[in-house]
Amino acid sequence: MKTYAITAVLTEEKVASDVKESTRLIPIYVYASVFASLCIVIGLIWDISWHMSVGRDGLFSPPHIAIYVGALIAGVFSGIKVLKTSFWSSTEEKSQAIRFWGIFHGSLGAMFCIWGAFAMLTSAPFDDWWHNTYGLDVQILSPPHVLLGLGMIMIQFGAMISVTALQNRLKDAVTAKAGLHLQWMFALTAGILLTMVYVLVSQYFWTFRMHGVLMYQIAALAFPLFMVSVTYAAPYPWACTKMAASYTFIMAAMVWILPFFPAEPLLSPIYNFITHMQPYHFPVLLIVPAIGIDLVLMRSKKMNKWLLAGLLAVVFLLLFVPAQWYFAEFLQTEAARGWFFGRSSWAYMTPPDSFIRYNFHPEYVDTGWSLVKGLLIALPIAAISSRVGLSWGNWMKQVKR
Amino acid sequence: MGKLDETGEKMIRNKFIGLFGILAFAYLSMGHVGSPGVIFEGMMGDYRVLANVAPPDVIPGIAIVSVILPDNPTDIQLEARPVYWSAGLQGTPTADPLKPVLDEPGKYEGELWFMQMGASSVQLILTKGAEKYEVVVPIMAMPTAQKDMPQELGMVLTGLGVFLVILLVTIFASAMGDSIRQPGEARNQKGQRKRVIGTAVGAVVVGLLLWGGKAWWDAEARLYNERLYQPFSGTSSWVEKADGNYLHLKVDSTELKYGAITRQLSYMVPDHGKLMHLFLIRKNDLDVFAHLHPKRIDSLNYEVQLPPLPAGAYHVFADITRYTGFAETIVSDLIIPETSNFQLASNRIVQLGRDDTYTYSNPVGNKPLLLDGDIMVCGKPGIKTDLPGGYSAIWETETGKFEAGRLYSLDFALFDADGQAAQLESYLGMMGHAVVLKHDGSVFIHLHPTGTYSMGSQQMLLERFETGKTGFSNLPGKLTFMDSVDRVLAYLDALPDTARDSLLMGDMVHTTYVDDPAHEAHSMVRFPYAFPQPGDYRIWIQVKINGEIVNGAFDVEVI
Repeated sequence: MKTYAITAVLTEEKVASDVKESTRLIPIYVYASVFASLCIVIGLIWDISWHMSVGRDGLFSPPHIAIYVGALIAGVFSGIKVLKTSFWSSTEEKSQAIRFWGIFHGSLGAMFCIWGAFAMLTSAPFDDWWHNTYGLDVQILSPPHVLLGLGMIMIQFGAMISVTALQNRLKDAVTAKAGLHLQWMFALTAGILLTMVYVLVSQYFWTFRMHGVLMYQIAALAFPLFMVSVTYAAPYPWACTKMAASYTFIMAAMVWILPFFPAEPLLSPIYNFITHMQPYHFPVLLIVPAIGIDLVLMRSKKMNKWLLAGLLAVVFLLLFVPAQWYFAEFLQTEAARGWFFGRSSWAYMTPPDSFIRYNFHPEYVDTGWSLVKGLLIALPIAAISSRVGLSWGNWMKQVKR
Repeated sequence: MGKLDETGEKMIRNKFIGLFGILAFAYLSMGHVGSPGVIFEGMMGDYRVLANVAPPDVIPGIAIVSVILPDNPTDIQLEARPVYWSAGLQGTPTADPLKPVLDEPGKYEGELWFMQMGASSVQLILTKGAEKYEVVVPIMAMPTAQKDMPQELGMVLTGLGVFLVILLVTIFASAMGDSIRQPGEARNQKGQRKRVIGTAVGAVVVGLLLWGGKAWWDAEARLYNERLYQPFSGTSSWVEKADGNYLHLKVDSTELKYGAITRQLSYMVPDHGKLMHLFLIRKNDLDVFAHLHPKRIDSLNYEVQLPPLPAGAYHVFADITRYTGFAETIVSDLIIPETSNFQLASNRIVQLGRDDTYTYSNPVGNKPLLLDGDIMVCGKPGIKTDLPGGYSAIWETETGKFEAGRLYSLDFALFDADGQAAQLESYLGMMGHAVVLKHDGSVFIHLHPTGTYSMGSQQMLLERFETGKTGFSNLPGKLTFMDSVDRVLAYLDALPDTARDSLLMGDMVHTTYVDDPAHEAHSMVRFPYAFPQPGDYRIWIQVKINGEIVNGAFDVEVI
């Protein structure tokens, strides 16, 4: 680990004097935090699939190991980077970092990653006590899990900020190759963040809820914030589409890969007798509104931010709602049950003949006025989410340390 | 006695013959009162098996299963799995091996995950070569404990929490201030102001996060408390009627928020021919003990005629079993007032009808709890007690000392008036029965030689598993079920003794576990039990000699 950190610093020094070596301009710890971020999101989706298929897990189940590896890499690389900059670096290097608590110097990305790693570390004993007191995992959202989730998000956000800061600092002083690296790393980290946000709210995104407005209101709340901010901050076009493409690919790849692995439920009661891993959700069609957001921001970036936010909200809902609405109808058909969309996936503890497996739950179906009213409520939600996203994006554009 | 209708006849003919046959073993013993562990003793193939299941006190949670094979056979494989009444054998994962415990020959241990609340069981599977033996031990999977955070953990988490809070506020301040400065550019006044604003914003956001988290945690804790196992509360009252005094038990089920199906009182089933086994024990002195069988008036009201018991305050423990295999004890109090027509009948036994019994013994605390050096059974000293009718019993124990949490075989030898081994008869299908009560009433359990579990529950679970049914949607109708059970009970009550015994005993094979040649000359009865907590206990044993039920009390201190 130490060698890597030193290499990272050395490459930075070298790069300062030799711009031609620009692909190595990207410090190793940035690559490390992107990799850590990917490990965490894959581990998380794998873990959900594990709970749907096997049920029983221990501290060192394979998905947990993927998550811990991510936390460890992010925490250790960022921690070493901060210590190195604080105690063994030149004044010039220190002047590129943020000084905090009197003695430390580090980048904002590294601070996020350290916070995330410590939050994840804290959640472990907290979660253990929680299980002994209130029962083992039967829910995604519990206070210790949210602390864990916040830790993960912070690491992913830290990775994205590390890439953004580098991007903002270097501006045009990069070769095409390094620029491309940064672009894709930014798209990937942003996509990972979007995936993470999706997973946290995914309990509202089961197919049987996709004809109810609540799902679209939640989408209006959670997604424009991140999609708009990333696009606004990116110094290149189609950032939102790339971000959504990363999200789509990560989610879909898990749907395609996980069923290759055999799995046997190890907890009672078992109502669905499965033999292989049951993947989580096929991605929702965020790619469609992403294209719209990109097009709007390409043309109207300078517009009044409140108007722009309203426009973005309209575009988001106009594109996302019908796309997902009709796609959901397709997902209920026999055609969606093959390997590609993975719609046969069903947790072991749920009866396989459950009427909501391939149907919309009547309680979550909105039509007519209730649909219109629900979407009219979703509109200001999406507008506020977009407006915050614009401010946040504006800030991200300025981050240089 | 009216004629049985078709349902009742069918029940007697098909289902309940088997049911009662095996329930003849079953004398309700599932005492939730202070004794959460379940102990099983029985045979699997040729091997004697002693199992101790410590169910999780939080659901979902993990149970600890310990099994002792006293003969320590070689080349065997022992496995266990949790089987829910609702999921059946089909909906149960493959069994986990129980691992041999180092340095304790014949002992095996393992963990089992219980994920849902309700009636459940542990299935033990013993494999030797091509032979496979299975047994089902009922347990109740219910959360029963509320825990506090250990101080050390609290301190560690607080430390980490404070660190996270400070770092997060710092991140906010840095994000708004320093992070957007050009590299190398010094911090100016504007930047400093932004840092201050960032700190304030960070503090507010973190404060809101903490407040929200606290509110959420409190809500989760409240929800958990609602799910926590709530025993039924019962009210026992003394009712004077023309033909004698009665005990009226009213069960209050209004507090029941969870287990609405598994614990429904409409789905009560008879255990050993009786819907309810009720124990009355006089408080403080514990000198009066009665075992009665109330009749159901409706699903919440039960009544039984009282024997001539002396006035005083009594503990009332009523054991019941459900169709789902869920068994529990309803606890209440009874005050018997002084009545003019009552005379104390000391140290004699009266049999009420053919199933109810009561006895008097010495009050606790007036007899030293010492081993009697003159009494030796098979070379072991014992605690002797005289029983009504000139009989006597010796509790055989090496030291007379018992530790809480340790599994013991409580061994009793019975003698007749001449000091010869008494001829024990099968009483309710068993060599004997025992009731254990901690002096303060906080631990109560009814056990028998097969252990502490309810055999009624065991039978219900086995029957359910045989049907292959799962879920809760295929239950018989509440009223039909109650009526059918009542008709079967009335039918049984109207039968003469021999016919009823024959029906109750069914094809039961009476198994004795005392096959030790050293004990051939003795009449022994053994109860496997682990005292759950230290304290003073009284144990009543019930055996049948010469057609009479004989009860005896022993005292013991558990450390």
